Amino acid sequence: MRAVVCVRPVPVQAQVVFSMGAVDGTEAERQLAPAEAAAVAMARGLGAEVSVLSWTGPEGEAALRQALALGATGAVRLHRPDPLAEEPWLDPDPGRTARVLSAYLRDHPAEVILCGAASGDQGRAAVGPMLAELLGLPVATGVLSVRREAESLLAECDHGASRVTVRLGIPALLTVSVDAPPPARPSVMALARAMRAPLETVEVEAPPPLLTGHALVSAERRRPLRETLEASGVEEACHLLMARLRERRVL
Amino acid sequence: MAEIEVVASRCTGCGECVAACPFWAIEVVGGVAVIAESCTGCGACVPSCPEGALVQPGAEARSTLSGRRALWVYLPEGRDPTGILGVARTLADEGDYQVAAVVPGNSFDSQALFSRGADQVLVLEGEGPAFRLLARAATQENPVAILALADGEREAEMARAAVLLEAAYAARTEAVEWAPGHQALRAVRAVAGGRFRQTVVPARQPVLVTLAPWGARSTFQDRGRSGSVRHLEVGAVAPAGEETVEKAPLEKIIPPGRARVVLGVGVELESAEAVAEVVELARRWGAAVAAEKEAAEAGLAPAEWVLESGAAIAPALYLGLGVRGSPAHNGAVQKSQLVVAVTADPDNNLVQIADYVVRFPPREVVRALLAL
Repeated sequence: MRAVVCVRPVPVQAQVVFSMGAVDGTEAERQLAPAEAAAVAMARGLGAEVSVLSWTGPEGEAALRQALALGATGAVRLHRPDPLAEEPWLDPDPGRTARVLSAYLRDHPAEVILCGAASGDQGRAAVGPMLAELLGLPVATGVLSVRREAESLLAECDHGASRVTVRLGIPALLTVSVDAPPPARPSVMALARAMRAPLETVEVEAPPPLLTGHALVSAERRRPLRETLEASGVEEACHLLMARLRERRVL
Repeated sequence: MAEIEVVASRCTGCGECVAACPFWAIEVVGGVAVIAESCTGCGACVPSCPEGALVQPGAEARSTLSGRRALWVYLPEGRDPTGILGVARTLADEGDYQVAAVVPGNSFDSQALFSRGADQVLVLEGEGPAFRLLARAATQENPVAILALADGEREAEMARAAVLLEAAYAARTEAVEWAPGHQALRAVRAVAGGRFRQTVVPARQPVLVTLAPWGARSTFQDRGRSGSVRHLEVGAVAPAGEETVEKAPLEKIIPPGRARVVLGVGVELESAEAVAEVVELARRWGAAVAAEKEAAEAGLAPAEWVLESGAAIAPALYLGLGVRGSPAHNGAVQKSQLVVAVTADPDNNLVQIADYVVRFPPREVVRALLAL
């Protein structure tokens, strides 16, 4: 069985620079989202040969190597120059991403395609279902676990208020929940192998975006009261706090 | 490729078009507007020019917002729990559109939907998955936009409908508004500690927007409003391809995005036992529990509790218990109506956005609150 895990390397939050009027993550390292790391582990659990696929610039290679260290055996980077967006990592158009990935996957089909249910920065949960629709595949979203039964997959899914069991014919697409079991920490040897492993880079033609965007630091920041509740002891402080919360009708 | 042409003899270089362009694709050079290659041809600048100096060749043949009259609100359960119809009502009144509540079955209270802001209830009739019925109906009726609540499985359905419609899709947004000239909708969402303004380009098909629960809130209510109910025969659409075998309620902690009160776990709590006491307090208050990333990295909280700006929340109360207040975490909680910082750390950053500050060790405060 061949599995492809689609990933979206996102900047390490702590390295994103904030200033009024702009959010700059261009210098930040890229990493896999927890749900994407779990997807690599889930694909391996199916006994599949796992490749990782991403539409990203060269800055995303570190995240692809992270996936290789977790057990993926191949990594393909669909090159993304992205002339339009000032901050391509913000990626306002999930449909565009899904179209680029689907064009590649039509020529390089897999029995199972996995995505993180939500990327590390935006968490819109959109690319997976869009990719499934473009490829005409059945989809299970928020997958916590999956097992193979003959020619179908049986997926346990978290749909918010309910846990749903979904049966899908193969080939199929799964979006993996952030609550799915995380992968084991890679060994030093696996990390070293991943550092040396070749990455395949493919030039692709991206469709024009249907929407675009711009990052702004909010000019509408709240104006906090910043009142320190002066009290002689912790009990008195708690009574003061509860009184304030009742006055403000939040409790 | 620029699709807008500047008639240089008419252009006065006033800059109105620069402000109107949602793509920052126009600048005034030497007193004349210049269209950059990044122009998408959306046409938002054309009506902004007081001199009529901007021309969009072939614009007559292009479907624009002005040719569509309805804003749809997709309500798969036939009711409006948050007031999203009121959000659509505001947009519709600003742009002179009608609001249709779109329901895929016959289980709805039409008067309740009219009171909330709908002008019409559009009942989809056909066989197959609701999202495919919605997409086919939208192809027939061509609304301006389809709004829906970003809620669990509905998001996946809206994403799939967007593909079927070849439509722009803005997911989990916090607010939606018109761009100048009412030629495009702008959807805003928090990301990476800031506010990320997405500009949705009106294309030949409707724009799909899902709104986070706090973005879909509206108190609009007018019991005197009335409207019409229309049944739309959509026919049969293809099955979804996957089959639900079993569905059971999922017992889990209330997600922070849906809770009125959220308790934040921070590194100052120091131990798993202290975090367990926070969970008990949350149970008693009917609150959700979230965490700062540092707390998860210290093993005090599971990764799924982590709140960062990509998953911003806006509860009535955010009570940060030993939360240090990283920029990403503060970005995620700053829209709360009330923020309380409980900390003994003089360098705590959550206090910068807090309304009330309690300067005692957070574990002692949790225990005292449990004892009240």
